Amino acid sequence: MKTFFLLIGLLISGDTYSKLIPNITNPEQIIWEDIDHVLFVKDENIFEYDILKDEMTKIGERKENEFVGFGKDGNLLLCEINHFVISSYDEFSTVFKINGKELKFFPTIQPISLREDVIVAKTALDFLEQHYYEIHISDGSIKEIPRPGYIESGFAIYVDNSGDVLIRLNLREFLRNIFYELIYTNT
Amino acid sequence: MGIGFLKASPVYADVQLVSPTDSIVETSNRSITFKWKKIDDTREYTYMLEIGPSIFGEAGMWNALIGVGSIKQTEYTYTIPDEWGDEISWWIKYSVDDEEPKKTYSSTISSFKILSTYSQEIVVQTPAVVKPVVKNIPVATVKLEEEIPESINWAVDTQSPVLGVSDTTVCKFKYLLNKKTSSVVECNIHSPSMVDLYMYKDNGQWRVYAKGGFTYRLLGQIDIYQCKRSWNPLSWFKCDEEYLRTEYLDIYPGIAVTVSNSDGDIQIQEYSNQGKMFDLTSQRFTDTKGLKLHFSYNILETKYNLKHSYGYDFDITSVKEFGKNTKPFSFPFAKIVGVTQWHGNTAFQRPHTGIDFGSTKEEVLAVLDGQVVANGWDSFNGECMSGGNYIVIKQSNGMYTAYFHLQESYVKYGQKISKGMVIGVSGNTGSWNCQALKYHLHFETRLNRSQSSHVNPVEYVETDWSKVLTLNAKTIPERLSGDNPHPSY
Repeated sequence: MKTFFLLIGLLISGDTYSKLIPNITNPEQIIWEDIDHVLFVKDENIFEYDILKDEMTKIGERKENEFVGFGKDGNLLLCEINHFVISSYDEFSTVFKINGKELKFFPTIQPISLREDVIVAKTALDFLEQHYYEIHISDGSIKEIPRPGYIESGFAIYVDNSGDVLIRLNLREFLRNIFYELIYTNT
Repeated sequence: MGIGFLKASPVYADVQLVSPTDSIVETSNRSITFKWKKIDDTREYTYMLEIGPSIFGEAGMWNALIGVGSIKQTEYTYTIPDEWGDEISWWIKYSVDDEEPKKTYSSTISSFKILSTYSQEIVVQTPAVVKPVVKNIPVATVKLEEEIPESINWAVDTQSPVLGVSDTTVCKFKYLLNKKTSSVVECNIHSPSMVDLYMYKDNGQWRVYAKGGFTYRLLGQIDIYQCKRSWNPLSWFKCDEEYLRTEYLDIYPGIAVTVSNSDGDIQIQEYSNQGKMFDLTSQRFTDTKGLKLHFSYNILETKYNLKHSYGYDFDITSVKEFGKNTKPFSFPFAKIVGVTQWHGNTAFQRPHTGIDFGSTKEEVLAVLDGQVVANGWDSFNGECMSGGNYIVIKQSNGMYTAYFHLQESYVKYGQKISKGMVIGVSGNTGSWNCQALKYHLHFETRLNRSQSSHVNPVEYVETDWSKVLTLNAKTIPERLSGDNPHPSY
């Protein structure tokens, strides 16, 4: 009953509800797996957090220079990143190793998202002009894209100044997204 | 849960940290006894205790600043240096004596906070009349603690006088609920420590410079009483006090500093305080007779109606040739410009040889008189690692300054430069790893002409660095790294 009133209150007021996620601080990667599961990558460990059960489970490991994503089958996919100092425009300053493949690129880049065949990458160093790229693992192609936007889903994970990780629910936003989803599905 | 979770290298549970762990430690001299234990009693271990400030890198990595090796016992006492701050982390590295080949294992990392207390030797001076003349001094704020942390060993019960039982400095007050009045029972506030206190000549007159540390937080104990109710009419006109309970407060006293001579108060020209330190410069004056600095703590709190002041006087006799403003260079822009990368070992470059100011096509100013000793296009490390348009100036004090990635340069080789002159416009020329740079000015201060003699510009450029922000630090916290004079922003 208390939860019901909390939800009604959140819906009417449009306020957000935040909750601390225990046992994780300053994760290097936060990846939404599905509506109620989030992956946290911290040092060499990969954890899966079940939002509804409030449970954190270690599901894998990685090397510190590996970026974590999801493959076509929904399994974890690791992309090893190596950067090199170059002295000409003909050389490659970035090498990604993924699925046994080596993908070489001129710009010094790092992945920001890895889903199935697509890596979205950005310039790795803050003092360089910032660019964003879409890379296809299957053929190694790379093309520059505009800065990707973020979709507000109603649920958000954020890290506060002290490194604590919190989950925030905006119920109004969450329901709005469900309605949009229904409208899109019906048309 | 705790900091140990952050550790990147393998952790073994054979050695467990006993104390201090995830707690607050009271100490009057910062001497901490570290205790740990081993699980396996059948084997002998050799330990190394590693301690350092609780500063964790971007990947959660922590570096100890001191390691005490070859310890056979399971406790060790170490005095934490003041400059490490109050948040400290530690761990134990250990090896098993009969294991071959030798391996080194680590415990988890534990963190704790030091709560400084004061010794009983402090003599309380008579409260003086407080005449605050300094503006922007924080007013005393008092935060009511809901619960006293269990880890603080108060060593007193609520009925006992605090002082004399424990070495914890507590300001003890008596609060009479019916009358809403309070009185001080005991309150020992540490005398401020003067790091620098001297006068110096400025344009034929004198100024005072003072820098010191003060007590910024006190623990307040409020014993609450009420007048006992009685049917006896004789007792209606007097208060028969009855103890009710004790509450504790975290008290942040306001401070006030005045400088005076025999003529009266001297106005303060500059004043700042950060954390536990203050620093001030007085206005100019002529008469040094009776010159003194008066420092006072003011406790003001409304809930329990606490009003209390303590004052300390310091005679000023020391004379120095120069004031504190001895930094030789001015700021390289006409306005304050934020920073995208500080000098030193940053998250991006180790070392970063200068400061990157996040300026786009801003006029760049000479920071002191001097002469241009190099300018043109930097190709020293090839076209792929180029500083673009640059200027190097030999300054009149013998040091060198360098400006890179300029959009335009207005000076020629050998040209004499005067302080404040516009020497160019900042840009994004040059490259790194053959790639275009963001717009910024890379500004270096060097002890000699070689880039390897680079020094932190913050130490040599006279400006209010507290106003020079790290740009976009919220979204790119790595920018806070390096020799940032204010690591949190």
